[in-house]
Amino acid sequence: MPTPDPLAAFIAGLREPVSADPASKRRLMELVRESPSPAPVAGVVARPVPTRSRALATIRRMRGTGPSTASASTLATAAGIALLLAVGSQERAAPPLTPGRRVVTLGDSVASVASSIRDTLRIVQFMLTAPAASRVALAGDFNNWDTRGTPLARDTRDGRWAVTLALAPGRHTYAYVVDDTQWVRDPAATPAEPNELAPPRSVLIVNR
Amino acid sequence: METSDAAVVRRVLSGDVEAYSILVERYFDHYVRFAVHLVGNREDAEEVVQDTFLRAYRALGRYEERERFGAWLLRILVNRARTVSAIGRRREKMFPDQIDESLPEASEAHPADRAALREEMARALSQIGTDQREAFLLHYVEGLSYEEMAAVTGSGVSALKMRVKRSCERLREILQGVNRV
Repeated sequence: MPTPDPLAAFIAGLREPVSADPASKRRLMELVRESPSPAPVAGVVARPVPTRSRALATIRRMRGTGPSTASASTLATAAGIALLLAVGSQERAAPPLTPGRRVVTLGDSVASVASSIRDTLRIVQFMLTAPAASRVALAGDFNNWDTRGTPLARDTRDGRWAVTLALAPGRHTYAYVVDDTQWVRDPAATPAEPNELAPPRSVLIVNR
Repeated sequence: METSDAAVVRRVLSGDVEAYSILVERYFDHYVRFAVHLVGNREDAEEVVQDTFLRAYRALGRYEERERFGAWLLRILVNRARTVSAIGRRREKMFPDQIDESLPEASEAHPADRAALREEMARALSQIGTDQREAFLLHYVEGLSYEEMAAVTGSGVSALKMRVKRSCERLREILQGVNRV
């Protein structure tokens, strides 16, 4: 007869419910009442640049599949297509990316051509210079902080990594994950408020 | 129908401070359990969870509804627990094995005593590293996926998998050692 795994019983013991001292909760609420009221915090506003009609067509096809419900890979793929279409014109008209600027909004809003504003998606390119990195991924509230689902592609010429996403307007927080272990705040964006919220994050506000 | 966490947060942000007690009732006990196993004793655990809720309240304006409130809270809690461990405050109370190596005797003398069992669990957990303990508890006790753990801890998925694997190996060694006595 096989010996039962002692770890299984150990884990079951750890899962047993615990009842906290009610006095701890009462004291907590007293401290809450004595604290100043919390207030929303503003972040940085992303810089919009001109639109491309074919990219907008791609975004239109994505409507109804918002970032909150779409998988990261679906989003990344769709956004990648949109970027490719937009970049086709950039080669002729758009200036090179500004050194030091790591987050650039490439696409304009569907709102400019559609009656509904709230469903708008915007194309945002995330970029990080990390020549020594083997892997870089993007993790943020828009992909449920998945550290593997949104990898950045490397440009071997200059060590820059980039990925493009279609994001809903609003405030987003994110970070780069370098070599699966190191969380890096975007050096060119506004840091999220320094507090107890690990990991270090940056703030991006996508305009409507 | 139960009010969603996000709806409660909106009530609090609009000035209904007492609504915060709904979130306290929803999560406090659960996270005390997590903290007890993480920091090693009830007193410190309740203090850490209390501090976590207070910090969460003060930072509530930064909470984003895209994220589960429980996950947001857990991230704060993990950070607070790390701070407590790093400072080493009251460490002799947190990890009784460091002042008393007689776990097998305690367990053998009181096999049906739940307090002894809890002590045994605390001792076993105290014998693995802080990072491994944290990863083990998040995965096996809180039931988080590795992706969720990455968001909570700030560590990569590969590193977390390795920590969980090593913690399991080490705990098996410890537990089998206890059982052989």
